[in-house]
Amino acid sequence: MLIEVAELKKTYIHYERGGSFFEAVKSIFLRKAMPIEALKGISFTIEPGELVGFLGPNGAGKSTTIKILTGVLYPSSGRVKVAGYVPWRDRVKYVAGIGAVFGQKSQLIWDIPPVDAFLMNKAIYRISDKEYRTTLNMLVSLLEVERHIKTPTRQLSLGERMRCEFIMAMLHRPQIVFLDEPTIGLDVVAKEKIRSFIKKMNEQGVTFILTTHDLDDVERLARRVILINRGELIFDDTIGALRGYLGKKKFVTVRTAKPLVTVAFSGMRVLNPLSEYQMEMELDMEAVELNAFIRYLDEEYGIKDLIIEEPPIENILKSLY
Amino acid sequence: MKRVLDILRLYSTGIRIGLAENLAYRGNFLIRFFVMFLSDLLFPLVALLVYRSGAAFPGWTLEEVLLIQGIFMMAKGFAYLFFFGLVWNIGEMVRDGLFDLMLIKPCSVIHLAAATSFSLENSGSLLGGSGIFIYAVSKIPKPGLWEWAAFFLLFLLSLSVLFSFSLLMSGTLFKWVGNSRIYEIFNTITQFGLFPKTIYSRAFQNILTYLIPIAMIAFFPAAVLKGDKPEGLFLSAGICLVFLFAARLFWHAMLKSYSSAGG
Repeated sequence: MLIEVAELKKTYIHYERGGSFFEAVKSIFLRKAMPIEALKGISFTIEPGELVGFLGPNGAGKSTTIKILTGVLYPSSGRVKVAGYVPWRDRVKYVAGIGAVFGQKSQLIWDIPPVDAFLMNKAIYRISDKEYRTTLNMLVSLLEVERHIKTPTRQLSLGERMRCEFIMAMLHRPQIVFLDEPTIGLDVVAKEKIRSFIKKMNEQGVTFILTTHDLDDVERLARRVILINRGELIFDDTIGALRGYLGKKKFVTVRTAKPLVTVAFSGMRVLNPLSEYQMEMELDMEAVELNAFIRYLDEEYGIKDLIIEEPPIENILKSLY
Repeated sequence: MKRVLDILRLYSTGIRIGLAENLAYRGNFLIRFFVMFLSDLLFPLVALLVYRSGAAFPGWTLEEVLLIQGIFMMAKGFAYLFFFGLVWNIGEMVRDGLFDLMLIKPCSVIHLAAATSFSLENSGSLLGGSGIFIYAVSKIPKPGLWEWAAFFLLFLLSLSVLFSFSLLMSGTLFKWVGNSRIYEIFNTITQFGLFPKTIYSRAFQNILTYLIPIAMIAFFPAAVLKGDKPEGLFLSAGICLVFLFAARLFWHAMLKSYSSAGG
């Protein structure tokens, strides 16, 4: 077992303050402490080589969990062991084997080219010249940033910068990598390059813990999903199991020759009437026979176009949150 | 030994990167360099005015006072150049939530924060102080080998006092996030070290020697260099080491209260 988390709790103390002038003056002398339970005793384990999606709405406790797992924060109580270390206690030894990419926190240096900033990590992780050259060449070629690493960071696009962030995080060949919103703000091409890189590194045995709100990232990368909400773990299983969470459902978009005003079928629910001739529906596959439903639509309304899909994962998440 | 080499490698890389950053904006670099150089000349000019008007600090010639001020500026210049940046580095990173990035690096956060804050712009104080120091030394009786050896030892203690201050100041920033007035507090306290401690009352001299060893920043090194055997020197040297130890403990205790920024 690579990561073991048991009964993890974290309580922050916030200080309440009103908005008025009187409240502001009063808060200088007297502040009301408000305990906020960010984590209420979550437990899970992660095996080596897994790629786990860590999901939850804003304020759910995802970042707090990741910060505790990376040794940045002390928990209030509970046990955590990652690769045999207690992250906050054995910080210096432990972090030598992990990497992290934070989509909204850059490790690059704004005014100088990424290749100069990489040297800082070379010194910090005590990477030999030979190992540094080999790893850098491999990462640069995988991420296709040969030209960009010598350009000042401030002149790079967000996508180019993010690919360089990955090099910064992986120069020391970590076995565990924490990704926090790694594709935030990127265009589809840049996202695809990052996802393909993550997949390749995962195939080489690197364990990834991916925190994101981009469900495409999760669907394309993660085999397992951990869902957390209000400090509690509410789901921990495969993507397939998550899809089956709402029962066997299909998502149908249909365009017809005749108006769909009177459409009705047992086990079918209208989700969104897009126009008189076009509609989004949900089918309960335990109550509907798909052939019969398609025949009904074609005979009654004349199908011009039909798309049948798995239900969008965001619908499932909405019902879980 | 390996640990020392690792730290030196960290600083040398930090200095290389800091130089590259400084040279990205040459105009800003030159302006800040001269501002630092000129602003630090204020106190030697005040001393000059005092002596020109016929007044004096009892028991101290103008050149001896300039010696104290030159050493003070050199110590501060050295500190600003090589390690004091950890205060504003940590302050900014804690406020912006970027301090997490420091904690995920396998090295001393104190050294990393100091090494990555190297800025050549701050060399103005060191150069200005060195100039005044060289002038003052040329005007006092020539120090012997023993005086020079004792001076270098005490100069290291002077740097340790400033390093302790940088730990105390950056430590408070984990809890007292975004406190921009911390430099004013530091400058106000340490400015008592710009003048001979013998001009202050007895009680205040004891505070500067045995409680917050500000007299070690410049007064003791200057006194030893001009051949004096100042009272309380050895005890104050011991206090400097205790001060450093306590500052380090305080910094680590404050780090535990770091709560990061919202995710």
